[in-house]
Amino acid sequence: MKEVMAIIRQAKVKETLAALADIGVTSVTVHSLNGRGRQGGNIMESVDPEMKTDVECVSKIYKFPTPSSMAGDSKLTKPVLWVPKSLLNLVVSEVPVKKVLETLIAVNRTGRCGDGKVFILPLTDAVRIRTGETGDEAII
Amino acid sequence: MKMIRAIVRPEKEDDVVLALEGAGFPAMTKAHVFGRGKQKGLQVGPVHYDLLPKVLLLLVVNDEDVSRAMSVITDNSKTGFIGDGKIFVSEVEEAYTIRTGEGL
Repeated sequence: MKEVMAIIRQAKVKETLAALADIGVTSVTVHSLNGRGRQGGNIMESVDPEMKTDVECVSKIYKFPTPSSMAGDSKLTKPVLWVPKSLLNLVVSEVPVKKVLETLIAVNRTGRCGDGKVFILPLTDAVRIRTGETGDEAII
Repeated sequence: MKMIRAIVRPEKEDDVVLALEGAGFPAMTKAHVFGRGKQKGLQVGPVHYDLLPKVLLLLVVNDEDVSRAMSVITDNSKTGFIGDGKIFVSEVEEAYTIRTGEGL
């Protein structure tokens, strides 16, 4: 049993969920949150029309002070932005993790900064609350 | 690699994030969450607050950086009062960058 955490663009959520359903992974938890990567969240230099969703949101949050811009003595020259992202949380046992991973990467890969990350974590147990089933049975 | 989930006071978010940036951990994810601890929320006179607003910071770091990242977070979010939050560390087996499709 593995937990897969994928941080992806918000605009790609629908497409990703459809692709996951195709390979038999239907149970997903989606969180909407903010994130940033190695670039310090500054995506303005890699802006392009296909990143519309992110850019629209960024132009909104750009007006508000960010941690780096508030700290006058910060060594960082560019303001640090938080980019809206979606976190897909899925627990898989039946479908191979490798297949899920390949699907996530195939759908979400655009080749530009901000595509996101996929983390795979071990999971010791799961319980289906309705029936009390535990382990692999709970997530099939 | 380890995943650090830190639940901190919202007013300390900026301090923690800036310090993490300075310590070489610019990449993280944050979410505004509600939670409570052992004290079951907060009682202010007749009003009881069951869930209190917190910020959840999620970052994945190399094994050797875990203690450094944790000390940066604790140093900057500590007030000494109830409600400072928690840090959870869990194992990450694999991590991939979607842009390149390669493992970290």
